[in-house]
Amino acid sequence: MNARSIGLLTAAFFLLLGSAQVFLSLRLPGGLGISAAEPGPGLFPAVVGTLMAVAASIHLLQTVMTRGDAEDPVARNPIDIIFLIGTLSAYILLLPRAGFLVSAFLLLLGTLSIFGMPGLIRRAVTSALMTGISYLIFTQALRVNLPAPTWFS
Amino acid sequence: MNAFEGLAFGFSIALQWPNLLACFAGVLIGTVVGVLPGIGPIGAMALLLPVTYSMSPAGALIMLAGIYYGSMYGGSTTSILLKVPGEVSSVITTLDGYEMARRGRAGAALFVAAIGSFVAGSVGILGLAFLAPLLASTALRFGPPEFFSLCVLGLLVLSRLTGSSLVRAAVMVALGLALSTVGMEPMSGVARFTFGSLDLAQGLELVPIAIGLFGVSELLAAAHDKLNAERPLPVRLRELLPTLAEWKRSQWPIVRGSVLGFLFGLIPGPTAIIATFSSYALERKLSKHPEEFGQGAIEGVAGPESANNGAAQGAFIPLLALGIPFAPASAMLLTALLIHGAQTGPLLMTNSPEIFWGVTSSMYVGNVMLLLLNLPMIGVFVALLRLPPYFISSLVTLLCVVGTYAISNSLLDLWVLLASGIVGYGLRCLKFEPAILLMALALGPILERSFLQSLFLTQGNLVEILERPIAGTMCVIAVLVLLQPIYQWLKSVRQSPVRAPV
Repeated sequence: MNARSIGLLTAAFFLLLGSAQVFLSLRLPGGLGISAAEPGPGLFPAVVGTLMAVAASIHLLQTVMTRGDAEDPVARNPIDIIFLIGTLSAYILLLPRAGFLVSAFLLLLGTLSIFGMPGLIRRAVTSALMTGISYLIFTQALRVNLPAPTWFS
Repeated sequence: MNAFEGLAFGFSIALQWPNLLACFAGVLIGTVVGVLPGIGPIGAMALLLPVTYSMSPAGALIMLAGIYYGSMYGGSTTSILLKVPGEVSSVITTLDGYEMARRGRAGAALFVAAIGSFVAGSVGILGLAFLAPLLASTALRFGPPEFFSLCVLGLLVLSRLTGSSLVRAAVMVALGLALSTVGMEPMSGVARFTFGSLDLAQGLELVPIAIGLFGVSELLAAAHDKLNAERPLPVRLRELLPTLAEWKRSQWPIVRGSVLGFLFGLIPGPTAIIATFSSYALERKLSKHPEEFGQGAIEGVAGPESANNGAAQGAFIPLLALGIPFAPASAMLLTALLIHGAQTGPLLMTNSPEIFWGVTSSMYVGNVMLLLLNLPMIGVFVALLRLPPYFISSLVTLLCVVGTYAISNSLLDLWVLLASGIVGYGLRCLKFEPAILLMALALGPILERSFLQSLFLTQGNLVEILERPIAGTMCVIAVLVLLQPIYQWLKSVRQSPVRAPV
């Protein structure tokens, strides 16, 4: 997909988003209000949605009018990005069940691999050390309340 | 309380042990953040916001402000030694700073950068102490129309200064404002765009979005680009002092950079970056040896490094005097003020003098600490650059998720963080400016409240705003700011057959 197609899709997405906001604002209880002097809860979001839709329409027109030989702005091989998003999602899903220690260990194991640390054993040892030290700092020094595992309770 | 009494009172607050410790922690973290490319001051401030919950409001602000101006000091180190700016506002320093380092004058460049930053910081604090009370007393006469027009003007100027096209900037402003409307409506209490979620009824927190846009998106970019550790050029302690000639050449650029930076700091937007470029251009124009610029001219380090610190201090004025954040870092400080229950706006100085004067005076204390930290301990900070990037990136990832969770122990915040990171990465790839989105999100509630109150006040006739001197003037300036790129576009269309985007 070239830059022009991505630009068109982006502009269309924002046009849709702005239009959806205007539509949902009109359906709010009280909507736009009785008059300009007595505005409802939907007035400000409707103005904002209109601004987004108008700006996106102009962006769409500008993109249509440009030539399509620009370089693709999106990463060609996004496998590491997808892995990082997956690792972060797994951390969020695991956190309330497995608790901080297990989730953070797995998160660090994943990120050290993604960011290129060599050797599985080195990665595992580093993750365990970083998890332990950070747990002590967060809970003891900074008084942060971190979740405990709930799987076995 | 006049400015001198205020400063004396402020020092009595800033020199209390807990606040001194907070200041030291802030400037130390700020320097480390500035030295390490990747996590910026906004991400660091957002991450440490939950840590400030147990502090006094003044202590919390002192620490967070220290991170911000401390990062400006640290940013110059990597620019000079690696040609990699730790902060965007240090980009211009790479031109002459790195050339000086290659010629064995790294120590002198770092020394001049630190002294320039200190002078600029001191000028900024005096400006803050004398100008902010004046502005705040004027702002006491501000009504909703004035705040409304000020927010609109701020967003417009910000959109024009970020380098993004007007249309892309407008999309970002609208997206930020749209996100700010999620949750309870301020007047009627109607839940908007919550889709039945009780968590969303509280509205979207600024901090997870800030960490996502500026922290997680950076990590996603790093995952793709796989940064390599660079080896910094060596600095010996005895090389730190500049020669008499270098010192003489630096004096006026430091003074000019400090004043220029401070004035730029008052304007909304990424003014620290613009101030550095303007200072560099000014010094090159005034120099007797403009051909030396880019080849290791010390003026090219002294001016911009003073300017970025001056701008960092100047940016505190709109926040502390008006309660309006004009930069993402100020938005973080405003969030901290609100979390600590402090009255923001022109009354901050009257109702919470310990916060206003304590923070102002602590900046002077922090600048002295930074001078002491950045010169003798330069070797320690340089050693940080030898840490493998995979270690730093993994640590930052952990800090992002723990920092976000610690705000309100909410899993929703973590999902917002991840979504904001993905959106932030996408926006960067598509050349949209996430800073505009964040500022619009921060200004959204103030803008909406003043918009609705203005409608009540004018009985629905917003044109009446133009009849008020301050609001009217700001509206006229806003229209001029809006028309300027359209005028330029029309001019370019008339002059060239190729159409440039607005």
